Parts: sequence; C-alpha cells; structure tokens
Amino acid sequence: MNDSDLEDQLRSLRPAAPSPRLEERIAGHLSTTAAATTAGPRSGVLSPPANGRAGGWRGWRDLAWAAAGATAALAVGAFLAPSDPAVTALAAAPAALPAAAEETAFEPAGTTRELLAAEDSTQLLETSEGLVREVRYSFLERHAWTNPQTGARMEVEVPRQDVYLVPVSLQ
Amino acid sequence: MNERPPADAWRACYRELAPKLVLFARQWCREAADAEDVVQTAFVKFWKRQPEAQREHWPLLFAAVRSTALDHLRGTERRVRREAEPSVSVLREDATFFDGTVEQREDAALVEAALRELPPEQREVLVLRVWGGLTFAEAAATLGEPINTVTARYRYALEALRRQLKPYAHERF
Repeated sequence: MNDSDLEDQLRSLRPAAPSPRLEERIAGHLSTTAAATTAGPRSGVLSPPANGRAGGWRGWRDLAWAAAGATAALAVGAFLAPSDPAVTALAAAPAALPAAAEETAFEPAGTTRELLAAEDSTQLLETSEGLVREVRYSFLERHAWTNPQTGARMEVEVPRQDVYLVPVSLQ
Repeated sequence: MNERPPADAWRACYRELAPKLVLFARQWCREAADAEDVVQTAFVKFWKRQPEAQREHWPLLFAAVRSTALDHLRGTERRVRREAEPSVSVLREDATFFDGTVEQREDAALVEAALRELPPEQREVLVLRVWGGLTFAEAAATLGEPINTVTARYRYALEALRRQLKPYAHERF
C-alpha cells in the first residue's frame, strides 16, 4: 500500500461529532458578546494604526495625558513618602529581601505561540528555485515563569512574524 | 461601506470544523468533554477577533485550539501533581476519535490505537493534514514550525502507521 492509498483509507474515517451542547454553549457566548458590542467588526488584530493628522494628534494627546498622569503620581508619591531616613530604610528593607529571593525562585513554565494573522500575498516573486508567493504569519509568543513557592506567575508577550515562501506551479 | 456579517455567520464555520477541531484538541486532552471545553474557549476567542473568518483563517483557529489545549494540559498536570496521582495518561479511552458504521468502527479502532502510539509531534501533524484538511504550509503556520520539519514529521507518521497497521493490511489497510 502506498502513501496515497493509506491517506485515502485514513481520510475515509470521519472525526467523531461533538455533542450538540457545544454549539449551544458557543452560541451563548457569542450572542452575549454581540449584544455587548455596538461597534463594528474587529477583524485584523494586527491592523496598522491609522496614519495622518488625526492619528498623530491622538498620539500626542495620549502622550500628554500619560505625562500628566506620571507627574501626578510622582507628586503624590513625594507627598506620601516618609521624610525620616530611618523610616525610609525600614520601609524599603522588607521589600528588597523577598524580591531578591523570589527572583532566583522563578522557573520557566513554558512558551506558547498564538497565531494572530495570516497574510497570503497575491504577488509572485521570482527566485532561483522558481516562482514563489509570500505567506506571512504573525504570532504572539508568551513566555511564562512561575514561582512554585508563592504561586506567582510572570508572563512576557513577544510579537513575532514568520515568512514562508511557497512554491507556485503555473499550469 | 462594509456590511457587518450576520450574527450567526460563525455557525457555518463551526459546523464544518467542529469535529476536526475536537479531534485535534483530543491530542492533548484526557477526556472528550475537556476537548470540547478547549474548542469552545478557542472558538469564541477566535471568532471575536475574526468575525469575518474565511478558509484562509483556519490555521489561526487550529492554532488557537492548540494553544488553549496546551494551557489546559499544563493546568491538568499541575493539578495532578498537587493531588499526587500516580500517573497521567494524556490520551484516555473514554470516547472514540471517529464516527462510522459498524465495519468502519473496527478500522477506526485500529487507526486510533496506532495514532496513540505515535510521538505527539508526528500525531498532531497527521491529524491536521489528514482530518483537519490543512496544507503543509498551513500546518506549519499552525504549529509554528518550518514547513520542511512538518513535511518530514508527516512522512514519519505515515510510515509508522503503515508499520503498525501492516498485520491488518490483508483485510483492510
């Protein structure tokens, strides 16, 4: 039996149907989401931010608000900070020791990669191995560490993009 | 102006993919019910992001199922370690992988047993390609692996299956 025959035999088996309740459960979740959302569809999570004057102005306005917030936080912190050097040392010491101990106690808890978008280019590229088309996949990698003693979990998200060159045959 | 998709546009996608997604999720889930929970979580999350999903977005959905299943598996392993169970069997025979007639069930049982013997990285490629209907490029994107690696794993998986099913070849395979 060759590969093709075996594949045909395998494909003749149908994956077991899920329980009817699964569709109802998904419908329930999606209907509540749709009811709560009044804006348009949000497809394309990696869509680039809007260019132009409006986008630029929004960026500056957000930056201004962020700067104002940071200034306010610093002002409140300075107001609430203890002025006595002894009190300051006492307040800082307990925080510093566990931080150093916890830092060494964190262990890698795995990495997952979530595919966010796939872009299939319609433009053909000519390479030494013939015509290819570019398929670009955008991922979000999540690296996690946990502290088994305290149960604390730390996650870092890293965007990543992979580009595949898929051979094209013109018939 | 873009029209919003109908509220139940997801149903067509679900009805076509649900059995494939559940089978894919079962590669990591101990029980069929857990696999369905994984598919539910992943599908809802996916559809909120891709309400106009088309065929080319399917690898995203399979990748979401895989990511959710792996999270589920890690949670299960932590729980088992905490409860000090003697061992974890990732694949448990509480429900079969495939539907079919009485005759097909015998074949299905043989294939399912052979699948359970495969290394996980080969099994997931085989399931994506044969029953998920993905191309090699799509399977590579789903798994985040180079396409050559995925193709090689698929060949190894087919070869291993052929070896395991060889004793029954004169009857069926």
